[in-house]
Amino acid sequence: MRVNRKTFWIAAPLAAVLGLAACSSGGQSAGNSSESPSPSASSGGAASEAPASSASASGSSGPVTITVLNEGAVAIGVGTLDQLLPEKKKSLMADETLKPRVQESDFARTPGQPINPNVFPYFYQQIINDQLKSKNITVKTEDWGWAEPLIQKETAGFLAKNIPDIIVGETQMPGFALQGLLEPFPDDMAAEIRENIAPAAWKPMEVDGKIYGFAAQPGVNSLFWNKKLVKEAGIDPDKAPQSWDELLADIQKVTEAGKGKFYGGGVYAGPNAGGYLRYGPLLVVNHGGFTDASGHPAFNSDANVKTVEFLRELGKNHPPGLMVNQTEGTYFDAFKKQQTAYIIDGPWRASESASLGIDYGMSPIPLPPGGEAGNITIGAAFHAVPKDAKHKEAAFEYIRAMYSDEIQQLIADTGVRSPVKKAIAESPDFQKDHPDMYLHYQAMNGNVQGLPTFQKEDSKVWQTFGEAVVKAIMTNGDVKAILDDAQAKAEAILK
Amino acid sequence: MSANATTRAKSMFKPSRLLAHATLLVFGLVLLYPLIFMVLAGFFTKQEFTSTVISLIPIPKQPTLENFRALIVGTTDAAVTTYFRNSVLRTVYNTFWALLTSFLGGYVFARLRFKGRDALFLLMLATQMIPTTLAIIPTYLEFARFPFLGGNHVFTGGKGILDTWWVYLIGGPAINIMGTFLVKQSLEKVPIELDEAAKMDGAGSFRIIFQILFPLQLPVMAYIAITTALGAWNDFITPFFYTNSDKLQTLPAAITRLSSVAASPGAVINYPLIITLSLGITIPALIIFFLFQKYIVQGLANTGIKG
Repeated sequence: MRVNRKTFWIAAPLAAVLGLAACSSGGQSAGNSSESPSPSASSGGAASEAPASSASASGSSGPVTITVLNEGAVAIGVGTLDQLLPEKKKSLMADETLKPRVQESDFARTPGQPINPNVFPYFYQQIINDQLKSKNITVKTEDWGWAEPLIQKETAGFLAKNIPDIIVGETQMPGFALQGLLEPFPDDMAAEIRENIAPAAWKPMEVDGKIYGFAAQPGVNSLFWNKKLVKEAGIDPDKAPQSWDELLADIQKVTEAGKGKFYGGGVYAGPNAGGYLRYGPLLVVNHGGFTDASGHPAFNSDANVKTVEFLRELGKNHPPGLMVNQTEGTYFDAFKKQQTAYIIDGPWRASESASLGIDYGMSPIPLPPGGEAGNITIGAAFHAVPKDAKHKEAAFEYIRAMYSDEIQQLIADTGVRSPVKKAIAESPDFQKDHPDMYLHYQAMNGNVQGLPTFQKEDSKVWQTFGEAVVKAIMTNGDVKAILDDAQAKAEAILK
Repeated sequence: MSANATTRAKSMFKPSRLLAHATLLVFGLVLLYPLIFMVLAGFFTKQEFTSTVISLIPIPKQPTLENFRALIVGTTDAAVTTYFRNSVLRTVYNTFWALLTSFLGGYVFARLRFKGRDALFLLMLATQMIPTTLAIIPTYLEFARFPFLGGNHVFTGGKGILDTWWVYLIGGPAINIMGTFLVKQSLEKVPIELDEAAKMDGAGSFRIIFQILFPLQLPVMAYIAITTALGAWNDFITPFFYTNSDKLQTLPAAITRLSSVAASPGAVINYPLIITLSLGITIPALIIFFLFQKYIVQGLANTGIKG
């Protein structure tokens, strides 16, 4: 029988498609793992994987290469660490813009001794590389950007099931954990972390009793001030304000003395995560917050009303509109350019001020009458293992390396952030050598929260609150009414 | 003769003419200001740029040539050479496809009659309304699932075409809707009798399209080529979102990563360097624009688009 040409050209491609689809791996990413085959990513369990131990994460044989996303504070480039480290050393020594310059002698490190902060990323990656090489694990870094581009790319990666073995991020990470996209830490690892690590490094990533992420050097907010401007206002630059009333009085004095050239400042309160992270601690210390105990929005509590009224007073001590500017960079630029005196920010404000030649003071956030110490983690680059990661065990080894004594001692020696490991941070040497960072470490052990993630339409709910605070600061409307309105809108969204 | 010269001189200094020129001068300076700012900012150190209030005309107190030196030295850096090569290849490739698809698409919509032609054209125009950022995640999924055969290992081992050259080869040459529209507008002004006369003389479709109609559309094609080349040169979204490897990065994506990674808390971002590097990558685009700017005006005029 003569084959109809049309029929042939329809049937042949169809046959090819069916044949190729039959060879498929079911839509999973390439199963080139040298580990024993794991169940599909949706199973959620690690039962069939090799038990978490210090044994080689590749199981019986073969090296494993894990892909890790870059985080700016510790990044040395894109590629495998073995190749990047020598290049980074060369570029650090050749970079004439670094202050202080990096010399060959800076690469000879004695734990417990201060190091050149510019060499910190190099040492960090070198320690990680050495620890993982001994377990036959090679680290390959990728750069997916930060903030919004990173969130977009990670979201796309989850949907496409094409995601690195370790992802990194800040405010988006608890949301990923809540959505079930991340692998929980093995129980023994979680127990070790709970016992030995300050809560700020893992508590925001705890969901239903399981830990899903870890930050090696998180931050909490502190109060910083520009000593030069404060002195010009006739205030003792070495004395920290002890209460909200004192803080407000000092800020007002600076604004008066500035005569429009500089202002008292206070805190960034823009309608975005940068704002919530910074004025959030003021809500917390005043017994308020973003949610109630069951995670529902609690925007209009009496405590929050008082705090927002305080924010309104602070708003009068900024150039018009600066405190609630849409972009946080503009607010921090004002402090860097010595146009504002006081700021609530993360621990990096100390080193950044020093590198810009600003003589700064630093203290815990002062409390209102009847207030209690508390804070919100900020600048915490949480590292997590996605459920679709190809090499989960090796990825958990990477996270173990992050809270190893070597890495935590390095963080302590750098003096830019505080370590989170109790054994390092609570040592007499650390308290003596880094009193500021020890204060910061103590703040990380108290009532430390992360920003909550709402059950649905998270960004819409946050927008409701953020805009209400902006309205309260920029207008003379009744703060209680404004927050009541925001609460009602949030409840309507979550219904 | 001298009376004419006097009249001409007088008309040059008429108040209305002077006012017009003054307005254009001010407007021109306003448009040029970002470039002027970028050049001057390149002389700042990162500390001074971050810690001082930058005035309208930024003059550094501690000027440095480091940023410009980095720009020049960087051109010999192996990584930068790779980025430059990728940018050039992508630009040339995208421009070629834009020209081909625009012309052929414009011909189809201008000359051919078929059912649903107008509706199809409107549908294509409507896709212009979709913001690029909305398409990022669907496009990512599309690239990850390519060739849509259940993640098989035929081509790239189950992760689609992400982080491969195929992102540029397949993802790059989409139908250039605006180019198609411009060619369509321009071809509609060419009398159909020209095609018919050529047909009567024995010319086939291929000859009519490429030897008769195409030369008449050169100004429009030049405009499409220039705008596509500039767009492809400056595009950072495609390499930034759909590729990770250093060897696939283009110049704009490399600079975006520089500023993105440096934006982690505590980093004193080297804005003067980033600004200077950004200035560097606009130089080829500026050269293309200045060399071919007359075709931009000509091309638009040929399409009959007014205002």
